[in-house]
Amino acid sequence: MNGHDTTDNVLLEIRDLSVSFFHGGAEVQAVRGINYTLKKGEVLGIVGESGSGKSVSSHSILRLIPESGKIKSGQILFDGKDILRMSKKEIQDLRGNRIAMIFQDPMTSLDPLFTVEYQLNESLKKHTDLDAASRKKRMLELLSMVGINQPERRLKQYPYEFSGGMRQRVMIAMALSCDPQLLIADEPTTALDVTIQAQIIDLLKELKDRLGMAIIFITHDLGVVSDICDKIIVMYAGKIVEEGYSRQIFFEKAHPYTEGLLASVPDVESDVNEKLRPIRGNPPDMSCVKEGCAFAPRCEYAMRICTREDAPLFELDATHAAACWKLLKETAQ
Amino acid sequence: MQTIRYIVKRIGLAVISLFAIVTITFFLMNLLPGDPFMSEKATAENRAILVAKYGLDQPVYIQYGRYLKNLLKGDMGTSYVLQKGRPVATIIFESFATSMQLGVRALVLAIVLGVSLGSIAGLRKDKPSDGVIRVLSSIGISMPGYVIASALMIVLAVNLKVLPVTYNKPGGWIMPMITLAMYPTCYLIRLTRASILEVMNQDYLTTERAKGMSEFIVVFVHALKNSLIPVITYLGPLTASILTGGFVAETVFNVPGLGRYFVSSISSRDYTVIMGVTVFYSSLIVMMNLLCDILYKIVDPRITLE
Repeated sequence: MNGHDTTDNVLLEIRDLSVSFFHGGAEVQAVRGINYTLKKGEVLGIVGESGSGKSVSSHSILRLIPESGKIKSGQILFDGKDILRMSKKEIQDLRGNRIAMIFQDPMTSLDPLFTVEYQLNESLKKHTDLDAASRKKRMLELLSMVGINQPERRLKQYPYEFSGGMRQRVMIAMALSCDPQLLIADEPTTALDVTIQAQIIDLLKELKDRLGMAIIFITHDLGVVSDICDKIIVMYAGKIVEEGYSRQIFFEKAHPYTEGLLASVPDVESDVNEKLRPIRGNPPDMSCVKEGCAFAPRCEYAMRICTREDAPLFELDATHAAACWKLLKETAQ
Repeated sequence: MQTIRYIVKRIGLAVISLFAIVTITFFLMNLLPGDPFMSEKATAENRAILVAKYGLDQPVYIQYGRYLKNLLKGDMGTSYVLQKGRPVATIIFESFATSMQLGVRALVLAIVLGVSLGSIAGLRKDKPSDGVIRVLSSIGISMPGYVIASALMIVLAVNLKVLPVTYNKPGGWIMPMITLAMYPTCYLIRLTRASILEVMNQDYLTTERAKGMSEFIVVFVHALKNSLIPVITYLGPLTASILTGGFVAETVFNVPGLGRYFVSSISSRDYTVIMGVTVFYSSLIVMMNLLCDILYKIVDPRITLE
């Protein structure tokens, strides 16, 4: 994350990415200059509330943001090549092939009018040279791999014949069909029951160990990412406020916002009488960004400087950084 | 198997509704003052003979029983007035052939234009092409058929003299076809546009894009198929009404089709023709709705026919 990585190991590098949405003249700054690096086979969690820019920044990697959105500046280097400068054909060759994506709501993410076979076959036909028989074999293999029983029968079925969890498994099978190097999982468990959530996370973990792809795991739930992610980025109001290895985020949290997020996650070991502490206030309106740290109005440690000037990322050590003025003294030493 | 059982059940229901329609129409028709021979230039005595000959002097329920019995045997009787003495079945068959020729053309025109213009408008929302299509379809949908027919006639036949005024001349089918197709075309444009707009925001299209599918496949395979579902629902009644012919188009352009018999049989109290056309038209609507439901099932696997 801080230039110590050997470049040949770097899969994805995001530099100064800014994305805005335009609604009738008003500009909503969804992402405001973020930087991060992802190594091959690494799992990165991006955590934040709705509107923090975590989804938009990740959708930008495949240039899948809605028409009203515009990537204003920055570079997205995938294997050294800038995705933002790719032609339509180049980006289509990348999507579903080297970078795949799964989405939040499996109930609406599959086309209801086509069989699972048709939808799986589409990607294989587009990105591989396999003949029909090999594609069929591959599809059966994929469904078994994601834990769908009777793949022969299931292939012929339509999405409505699958439960939510099963549909997410189909989505995962589809995403992994061409052995991607990077899987972007946009809140893949948010719309599922808690027990199914755990199953999907376990499945992703297992597949990650087996196939070795890198994963960007977007979520608003720190509990979900704790045991799958190597590194975690915490986003607030379109900026990265803290980044580090999972254990650093969980045990050496430095930003008040991260602290707030962690305090609002229920813990099995805590006393039953202990109340959850929600973060008071609401996320800022990104159509009129004010001076200073965006979290300052909700921050219990806010100082005078916080409302005047935005804090830069202070490096706590080689792998851990946070954007909060209260770290100025610590890091200066 | 399930589909076959469904079709049998639907046909059974159709027979019941047809029976109800025949019954209601028969008694309502007999409530109308006058009889088929009121315009005959004959003495009261001779008219009485005619009425007796056709059994119209008997109580209505006996007439009704006799009509049902004949209908079940496939006999719809002969015309009393419009084409005196000719079997009603022949009249319907002949005039329907004309209406169908015209109707199929109008139907194809309406579907092709309606769906394609509607798709363009939906895909190019708020662009100039969308605006033009929306304005034109609003005008088309709110203009009554006789205004369209008269306007076409004045411009194309009278002023420009490019098309003949009546149906039996070469090219005479063009204006009645346009008149007939106008409303369904505009309705289909609006329906398709609204449907496309809704479908274009669906998550599964993002999934398709994320799979690397080209915008062409995203729009023309996935978006279009999904947006046609509401359109198919409208096709059933549309087909029936367009095939039996618009009364206005057929009257204005003098087309010898079924639509004309629809109204003229009533005004002349041609009992057997009224009944025949009603039975035929109702059967056609019932059949088209059934066909549509089956088509619906083919397009959308989530629909179960029960």
